Amino acid sequence: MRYVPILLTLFACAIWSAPVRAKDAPKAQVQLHIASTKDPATIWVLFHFTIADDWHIYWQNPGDSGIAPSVTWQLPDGINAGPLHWPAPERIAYSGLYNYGYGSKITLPAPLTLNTPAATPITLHATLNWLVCKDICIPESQEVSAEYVPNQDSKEATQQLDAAMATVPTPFDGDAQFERNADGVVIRFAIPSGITDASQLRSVWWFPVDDGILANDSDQRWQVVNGDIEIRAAAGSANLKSPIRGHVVIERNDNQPTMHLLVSAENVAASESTTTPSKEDASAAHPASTQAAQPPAPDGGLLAALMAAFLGGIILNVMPCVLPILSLKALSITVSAQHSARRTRLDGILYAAGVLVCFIIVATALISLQQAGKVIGWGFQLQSPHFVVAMCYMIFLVALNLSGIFSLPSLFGNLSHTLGARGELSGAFFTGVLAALVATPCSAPFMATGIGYALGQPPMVALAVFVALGIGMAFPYTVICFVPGLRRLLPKPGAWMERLRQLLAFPMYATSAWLLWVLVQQSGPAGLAEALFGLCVIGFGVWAIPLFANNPLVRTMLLVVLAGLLIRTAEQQELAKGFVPVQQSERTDYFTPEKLQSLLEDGKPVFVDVTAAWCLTCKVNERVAVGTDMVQQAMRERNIMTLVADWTNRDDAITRYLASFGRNGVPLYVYYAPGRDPVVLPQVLTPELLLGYFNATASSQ
Amino acid sequence: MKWFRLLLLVSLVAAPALHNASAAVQMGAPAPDFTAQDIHNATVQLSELKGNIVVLEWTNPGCPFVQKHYDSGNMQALQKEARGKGVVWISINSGAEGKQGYMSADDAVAYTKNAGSHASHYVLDSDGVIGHLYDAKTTPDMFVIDTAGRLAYMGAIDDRATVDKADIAGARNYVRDAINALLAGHQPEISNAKSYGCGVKY
Repeated sequence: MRYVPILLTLFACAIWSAPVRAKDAPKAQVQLHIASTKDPATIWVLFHFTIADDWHIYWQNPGDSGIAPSVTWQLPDGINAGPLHWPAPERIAYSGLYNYGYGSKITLPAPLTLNTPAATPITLHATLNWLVCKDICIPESQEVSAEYVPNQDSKEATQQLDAAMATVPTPFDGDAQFERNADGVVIRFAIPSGITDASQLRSVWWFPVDDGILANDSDQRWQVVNGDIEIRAAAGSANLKSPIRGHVVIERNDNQPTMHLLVSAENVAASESTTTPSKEDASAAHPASTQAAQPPAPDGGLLAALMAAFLGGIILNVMPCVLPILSLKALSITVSAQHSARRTRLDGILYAAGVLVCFIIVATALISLQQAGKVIGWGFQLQSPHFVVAMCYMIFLVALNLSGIFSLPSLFGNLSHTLGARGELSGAFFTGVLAALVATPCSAPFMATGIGYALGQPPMVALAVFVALGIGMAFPYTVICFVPGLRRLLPKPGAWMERLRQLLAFPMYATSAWLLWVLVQQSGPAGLAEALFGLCVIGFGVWAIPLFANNPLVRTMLLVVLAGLLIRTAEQQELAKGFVPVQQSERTDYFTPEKLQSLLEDGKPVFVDVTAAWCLTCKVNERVAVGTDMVQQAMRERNIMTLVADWTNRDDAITRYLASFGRNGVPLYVYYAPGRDPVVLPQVLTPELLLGYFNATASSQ
Repeated sequence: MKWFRLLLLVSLVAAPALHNASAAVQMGAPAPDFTAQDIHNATVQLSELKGNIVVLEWTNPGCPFVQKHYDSGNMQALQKEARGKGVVWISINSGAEGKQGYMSADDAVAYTKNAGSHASHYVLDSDGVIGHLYDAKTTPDMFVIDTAGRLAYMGAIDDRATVDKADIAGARNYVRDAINALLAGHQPEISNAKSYGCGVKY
């Protein structure tokens, strides 16, 4: 019994603790050392890991699999534990998965803060948990303890601390941004101070602290662009978040120590920067990007954008997209010009109101969806087959009404007896809404850059630009309504009005047919069948409902049943892969960013045509310019490759491509002459124009 | 013209069901279809299972994280609970030959019986085809597919990324939450959580 106190004392005197024995020898062991600093209120502890050959433990972000080491402290009162600090990891590959971790030996420092400096020695206890893996993984655990003796500086311990902290990153105080789309991630930050020339940089690597934004198995390419370091990698599969942090390791060419920076990058869509990229590329040795990384901002900022939007709105009135609605507008003018001048002016204002309300609603939807991270562009509503079929039904109904097949009072009974007074007025408002809705997919000149700029701005600014656009579009009609003496200029009402009305029904039928054509490309023959059935339902309804002119109950029930059927046909529309018929030949192909990149790397001239089935302007351009023999011949002679980007349905890659040129809608034509920057062509093409571009760049080679 | 406006409003409201058009395995996108033989030689085809909620569980008996959930009975209990609600549960072992977790069909039959697995199917995917189709990275890695065949949840089984069985009780089980949400007719609150575990041994 005498030995027991001695044995107990020996145990209690232990300063270094022995590792807990496991069944098999552990693959890693850890020791706890203390490194005092000059600061009596902070104790640095060092966890020294020794790891068996070929085995590894993990970094704070383990990567595709694995778990980072963690520590649980048992500390006396008055001592608070800080987080583990992480030296630079290695990338470890296994079976196509990539992890970040450490092998053989690694020291993880952690700070402890004391509320009051210690006067007497303190014993610190901690339990370390880690996962150590080679091809299999073993979770291990070890309890460690050490005694802290105040006012004892150990030079060896300080050296160990300095060595451990050498590759722990220091926070980077510059701005950093990143963008991500389905094709990849671009991270951008200013060249750190201490580096004066890009040639001093040998390599740059981003170890993601926040996992999943970059793919861990991706290669990273870096370059210097306009004073910024730019890193490109493939995108990971985690949900987008901002900011993302990375441990950036920069190796130098000039015998200076490697830099380790903790960079926090904000998502560009969330930040409000309006930096204009220049086309300078300071580094020739690294792969260059195929397109501008940020959309060019128009000079003069907001005012210029508003003016551009206003002009664009006016021009929108003559774009092919708006042609179908022109018939309705023409009818409105003849009707409203019959009334008092005051009424005409009111109609003009109501039309403008209709256009503006529609623009504001669509713009608000677009902005909030973009803010929520969805990748869509202007004209997005026509990318939804539900919208297309609803528009088709509506326009068909309007056409039937114009044809005189039914009149509104017969559907709604006495309710609309007041239509005489209110009918035309609401007609003007409705015409405005309809015109705006169908016109929005068209990307008119002036309009395009304005919208692209607007969508990169804070929501209020963006909305202002869209309002300017709406005002521009409504402007011509409203102005005409305010012309004094309009009544005298137009012919008197008479039977010709009825004929005119019936005639104007036909452009509306044509628009319905066009929307069906768009629909079949979006949701295939099945979708078309549903829509055609819907049109039959409408035809039936328009005949059946007036039969019960005296029975409001039956009328309402019929209305409800038929409306339900129509809604069901709309719901059944399923988004099949849209297509713009492209004859794939050796000179024409579907657009993908990879195809573009490889063609450019081969030094081939490329013509990119971003189009959509519902874009009339695009069709016109293709018919009168791109598709002509003259242009096709020229493209054959110059070996120009055409890539067609079909934006009929949502396609993130194409939306991003558009955004990179500051565009948000179609058409977009870009010509890449070999070895030169891409040139954006105007939206209204002629054969001479195209040839001009092809020749200009060819002759200067 | 009033009902034109009504129809207009209806169409605006019924408007774009936004679709992610790009990556193969993404939330809300259709789950990639596959056909496989399970260890009892029954054919499993994902597209035939439309109308059921389907759970895919990547597993490797040698991995300590899988052992956390199997030794404690947590995974088996979850499988039983899910099947009781009509869920089809497919355990997938993508371990390549020669690597940890690889089993022959006979061994797998014995293993699942001993472990008390309640999975509907246990599939040996030693070529890693299904694993790569879903980009499964860890064991366990969980995918919950709704009755229309779209991915509703993918990632970790719960929110305690440890090997400690004691952490199961207090953990939030994302798979159970996803199944219950789908049965109640709405999307899971958390649709994606970084999965934890050992790497899949392709």
